[in-house]
Amino acid sequence: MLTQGFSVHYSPLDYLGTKTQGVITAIKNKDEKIVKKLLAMGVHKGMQITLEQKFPSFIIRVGRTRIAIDKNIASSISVRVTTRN
Amino acid sequence: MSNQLLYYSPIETAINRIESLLEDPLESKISRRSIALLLLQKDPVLRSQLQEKTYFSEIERIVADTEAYFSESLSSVIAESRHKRAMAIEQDITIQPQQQRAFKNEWLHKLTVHPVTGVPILALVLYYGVYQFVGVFGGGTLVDGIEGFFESHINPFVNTIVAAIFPWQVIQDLFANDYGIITLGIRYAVAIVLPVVATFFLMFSLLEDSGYLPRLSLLIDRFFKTIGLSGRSIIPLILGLGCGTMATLVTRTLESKRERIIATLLLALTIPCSAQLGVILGLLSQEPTALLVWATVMVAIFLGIGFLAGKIVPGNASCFYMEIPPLRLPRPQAILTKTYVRLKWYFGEILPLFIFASILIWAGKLTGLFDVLVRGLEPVMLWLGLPKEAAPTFLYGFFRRDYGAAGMFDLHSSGILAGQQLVVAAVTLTLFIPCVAQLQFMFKERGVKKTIAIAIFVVFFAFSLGYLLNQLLTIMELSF
Repeated sequence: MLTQGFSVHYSPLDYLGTKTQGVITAIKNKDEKIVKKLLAMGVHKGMQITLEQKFPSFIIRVGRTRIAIDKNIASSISVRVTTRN
Repeated sequence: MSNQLLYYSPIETAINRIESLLEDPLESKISRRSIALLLLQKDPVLRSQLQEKTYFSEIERIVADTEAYFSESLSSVIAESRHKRAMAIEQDITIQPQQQRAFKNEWLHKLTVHPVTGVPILALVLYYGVYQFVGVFGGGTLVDGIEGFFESHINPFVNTIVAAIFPWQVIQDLFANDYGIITLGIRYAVAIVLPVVATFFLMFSLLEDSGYLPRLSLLIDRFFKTIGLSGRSIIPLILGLGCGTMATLVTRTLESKRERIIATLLLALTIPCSAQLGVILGLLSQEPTALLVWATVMVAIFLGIGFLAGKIVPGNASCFYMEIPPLRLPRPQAILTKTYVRLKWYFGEILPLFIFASILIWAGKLTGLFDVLVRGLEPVMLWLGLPKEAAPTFLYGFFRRDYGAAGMFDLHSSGILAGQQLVVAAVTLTLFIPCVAQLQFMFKERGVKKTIAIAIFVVFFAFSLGYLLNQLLTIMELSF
């Protein structure tokens, strides 16, 4: 079998495991207010993101900021995974 | 790098076109560029202001044209440009030491947010911070001391002075004696509310500055979603254990209208304020079964009503997001200043209300209106299986929530109220309408219609539940 030495993995944040690192590829939520709040806290397309915890709430680190979000908001952040575990 | 922040060219073009349309001196306080940017981001306030202008349709067209250039909303695109610029500035002016520790006190942070260690820490913080420090020390030790000083020194002094100045009993009662402005209104504010609120604000500022509150919110969020709230609501609800009036004001920090309504309802119905909590705990602790029944019923109602309200109150499910600041050792100076400013504000708002309540009680007694209301409440008392002597307790309880509980204390020590009745009365009084100050703030924050709806529900629910509980306890033949 021919295996590629390099794979790209895209996923909504809530499907990832803890300690995953990645780059934000899109932020989409039907509630525009949530998107605006995320932008205001520095959660942008192209930023590095680390998922630190999933329960009881999601904790993410973006830049030097640490943010707690619920599952609904987590599902609105799409990530290109850069770590493999 | 120039100081001017440049956006992508379609946006810059749109800004120029909108700027040339705006010519009124009306918006002179804000630069045209800012106004144009706000319009591109569809700022609702500005849009409604400009709705009537002849050029508004032209602006709409420009915004729509510009939107077509991007796959994302203009707000996102504009925010992204700003953020890039901010990052560039940051990189320019900050030095990153090699091997810098990403976060200080990382281990402590992990302990406070991990579910296994975080929940016990939460319980300890609430028990020592809120219950022991505010409830037992502030609401018990300090209140007893200051209240005792009022009773033994200030009140008799005021009574004598007032009696010497005004020969008429009616005027004397307005200022002094059992329900006077000074002997009741001021005494209540200084002796009961001040120590409780001061210790509470002190603890609250401490938790706030240490960065613990957001961690508390994130631990509780998932659970609060089931009762229609979000983790953010824990802050007003805990404040409610100190003072429901203050807590009702703080509900304005909640994200959605729906969440604010549910939190206001739960505060009005189920959360006992510290004054009330102190007396009820003191009264029922002599009979552990009674205390257990009271606590179980209150928790069940909190969960049940929250769950139902979450189903019934219209609006979207609450969302939760919160920045988690690093844990820090609070600076005493900052804590004290914060506590002082809050206390000052609080007294400015609350003291007139206490004076007003004293005048209302005075007028109610003078006109005989209170006697009529008390007689109206007497059949309700009998219906709950309570002695009719409990009626004034409920009426005055509305003016001073703790007075209701304190009245129960008197009834209990004179042997009128015992066992099962005590539990029924405690539950009903806790559920019953909050004090007049909290009601006033509900009007202020939630508006007339919602407040009246909540108030009617609370009164109806309190008495119905009291009735049911009395029947249930009789059937189960629980003895206390």
